[in-house]
Amino acid sequence: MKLSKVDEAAVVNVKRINYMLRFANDEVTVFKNWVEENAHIYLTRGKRTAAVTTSGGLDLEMVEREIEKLSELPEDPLYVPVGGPPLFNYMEEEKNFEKLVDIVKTAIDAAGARSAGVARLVYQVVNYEDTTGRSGHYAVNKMYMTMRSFAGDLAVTSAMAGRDFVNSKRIGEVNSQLLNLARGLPKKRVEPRRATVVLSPLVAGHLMGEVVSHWTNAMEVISGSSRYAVEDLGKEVASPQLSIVEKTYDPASYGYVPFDFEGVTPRRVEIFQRGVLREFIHNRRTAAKFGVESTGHAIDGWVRPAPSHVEIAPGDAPHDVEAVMSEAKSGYYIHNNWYTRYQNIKTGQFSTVGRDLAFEIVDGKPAAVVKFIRIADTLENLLRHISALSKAVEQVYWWDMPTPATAPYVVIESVGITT
Amino acid sequence: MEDLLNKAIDYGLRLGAQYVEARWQIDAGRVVGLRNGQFEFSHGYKWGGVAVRVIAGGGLGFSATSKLENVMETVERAYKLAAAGGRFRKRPVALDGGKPAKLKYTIPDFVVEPLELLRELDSHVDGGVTMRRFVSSVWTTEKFIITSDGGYVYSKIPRVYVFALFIKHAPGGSLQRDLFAGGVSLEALRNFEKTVEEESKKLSVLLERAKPIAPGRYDVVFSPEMTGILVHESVGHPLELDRIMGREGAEAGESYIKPGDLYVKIGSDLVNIVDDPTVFDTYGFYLVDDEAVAARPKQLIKGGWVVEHIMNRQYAALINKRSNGGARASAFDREPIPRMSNTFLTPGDWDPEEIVRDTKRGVYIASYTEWNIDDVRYSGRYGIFEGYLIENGELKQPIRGFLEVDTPELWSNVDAVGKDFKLYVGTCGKGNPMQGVPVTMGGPTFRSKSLRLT
Repeated sequence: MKLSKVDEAAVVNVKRINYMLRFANDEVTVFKNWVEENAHIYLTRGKRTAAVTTSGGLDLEMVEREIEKLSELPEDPLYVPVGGPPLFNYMEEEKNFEKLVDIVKTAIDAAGARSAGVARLVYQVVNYEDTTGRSGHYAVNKMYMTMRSFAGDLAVTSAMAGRDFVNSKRIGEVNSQLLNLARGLPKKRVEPRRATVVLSPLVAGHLMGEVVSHWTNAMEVISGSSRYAVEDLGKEVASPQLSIVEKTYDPASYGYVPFDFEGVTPRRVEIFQRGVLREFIHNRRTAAKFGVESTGHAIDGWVRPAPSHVEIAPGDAPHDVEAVMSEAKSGYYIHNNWYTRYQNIKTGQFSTVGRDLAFEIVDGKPAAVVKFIRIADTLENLLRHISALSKAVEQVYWWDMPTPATAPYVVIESVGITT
Repeated sequence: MEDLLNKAIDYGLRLGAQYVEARWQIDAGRVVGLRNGQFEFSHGYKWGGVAVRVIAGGGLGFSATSKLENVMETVERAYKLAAAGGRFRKRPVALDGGKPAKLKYTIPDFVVEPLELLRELDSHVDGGVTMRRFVSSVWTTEKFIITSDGGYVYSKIPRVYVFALFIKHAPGGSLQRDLFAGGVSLEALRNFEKTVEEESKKLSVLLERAKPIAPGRYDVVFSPEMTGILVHESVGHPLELDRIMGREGAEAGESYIKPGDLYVKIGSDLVNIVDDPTVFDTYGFYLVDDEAVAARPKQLIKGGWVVEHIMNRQYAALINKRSNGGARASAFDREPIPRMSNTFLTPGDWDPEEIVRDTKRGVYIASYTEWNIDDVRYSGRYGIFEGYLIENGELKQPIRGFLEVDTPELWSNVDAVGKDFKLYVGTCGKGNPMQGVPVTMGGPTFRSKSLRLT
């Protein structure tokens, strides 16, 4: 690279070795491996900035072309000089992908029902270097498994995520337990109404991940698309039952990274503390605009900070699906969700479709299986009406979740429900 | 590149594979963002490599590398994974016996600077909009596919894509509108600045004037934009054969069409729906799919009956058919799976205005906001961005609310199909890892009777 043509540069080489075993109808549909080797380059001249990504190694011709383009760009209103604290090195050995076959077999056998799913193992190796002389590298493993089991038109999905091979037998056992709970119950549809809702860790993690990603992300605050403004920091904006921490810093988290695209080590971020909005997540660019330090959340690039792992703090309700339904007394249990869409991201008016088992709860017990249920409400209403959380948490991640999460069961009052 | 791909095929066969497919793909371009009129980012990219798919030992293996020097190692890995997975199958993976295509085609390149494009579009946004965001990508996809049974396809297709998001936030309420444009030539952008101007103006008007609809059943007249999302979600996706057979069961889901009952009636006699990749100048255009099968129009629904599905070679073989060229891979490191391209309701013989005039008490839905559908594609919900009451054949009060509809009801109640036609741009998601592929969706104005609005 001809550095004379730019003032500063940072290079982040990311190599991801991915193995994925997918299965359906109790047999392997495809066993995949893909190796991504991308060089991400950040360039500045004056306050003009640009990024380049090339795969298979550094493509100098492409970089030269982007350098030429720099002079045509306007100044970047969020420009900050390249720099930051010293980096450190952290290396793990790559785990053996051949174990995935046995992991999947174990889960299917434990479910005892027609099953489909995926087991994914990722080994991520990152090297960082910039023109201030900072450099560092790391290598981490992560794995998640999702399995959906079917019995007639009933289905249930369980998912586990972590930094080592997951306990797949447990995934099958949970699916089996929930299908047994549903067998023999009448099936019904819902009419639009407000009701108490019990969310599984999968659904709770999904929805709180949406909140953190869209509303407590400093870039969205700057853009004006977040519900929150800087003035909201320190205000009570959610139920006092709710505390959420961004946990990318924690080596036990599925979303753990030792440092981000700006070479900054992620730190613990208290997003909500007993209902009070405490902090936003930042990269160095947004942090400078707010007059604070980066929280280390330039996760996938330089433009927009992003959460990599959120944790909802546990409460004191029982951590068992039947016991938590008993505590809720009446309403609905939603086990999984997908297709979350916003009518308006700023007001947080959204709906999400319940999939897999949903129970109508009467007198603390599952009384019917509900077909075709949606949560149709605002994120704010959900945040403000949390009434209980279970006393343990699970690390979950699957295909449709915006952010990996560690979450308990969550009970929310007066939630908009529709068919 | 051709030599390298041929060597990969030969090596895979020597290892003992029954079938080997090698695909080189490069996507190169620039994506730019503009936020509230200010520069947000400029990101040049060039990513690509070689993917190898192998059938061996009864299983299917896939491996991809972005380093050309690692291609032979990638073949070995794909072979090893296929054999490992094959031991865990009840019946071996097999492909249809169709003859793959031999074709080279290139779509003429065009020049557009994404930042300049966005600045021009931004200048057309109504001043009353509170937050506006644009993203544009201009790129070229170049592919070379060779298969062990004779497939040989080279293609080079340029594309442009624009996404716009507007929010009007006022003390009395808040509204959001998302717009998309895209295609394989600059024709895709023709009059888009006018769309930006008109749609951004509507935010203030609708925020002020639209009233919640009284919940109930109405005869609903759908614009081509609505036709598009309804066709895509409730017909295109559930007719993907891999989904019907359960392959996507844990993630994108299965289908209301079941493996034992593939050819069912889901609509009235007026409902005819096609998926056609060969419509030139569309965002979903291609001539040969990513298994080297020649593309052709797929008549998904004829007279309300399911008559064809979106297939790849593996799932076509399962029902003793030949693939209809529906397999697409979004990038070099993604496997080809059955996908939509340009999916539309075919026009009928009504003037669209005549459909409205013929409606005594109903609703005209021009565009949508939030929408979603369950994972077997049966129960859909579509938020109304712009809609009007129809009283005695005339558009009246703007309304807001939701259409909540089951797929068979939506299509069975169709009693009028217009002769107008328009396609709308989207990025369709499916697969794990996620594959977003360029598509269009649309058709004519149509009416479906007695649907539930809330």
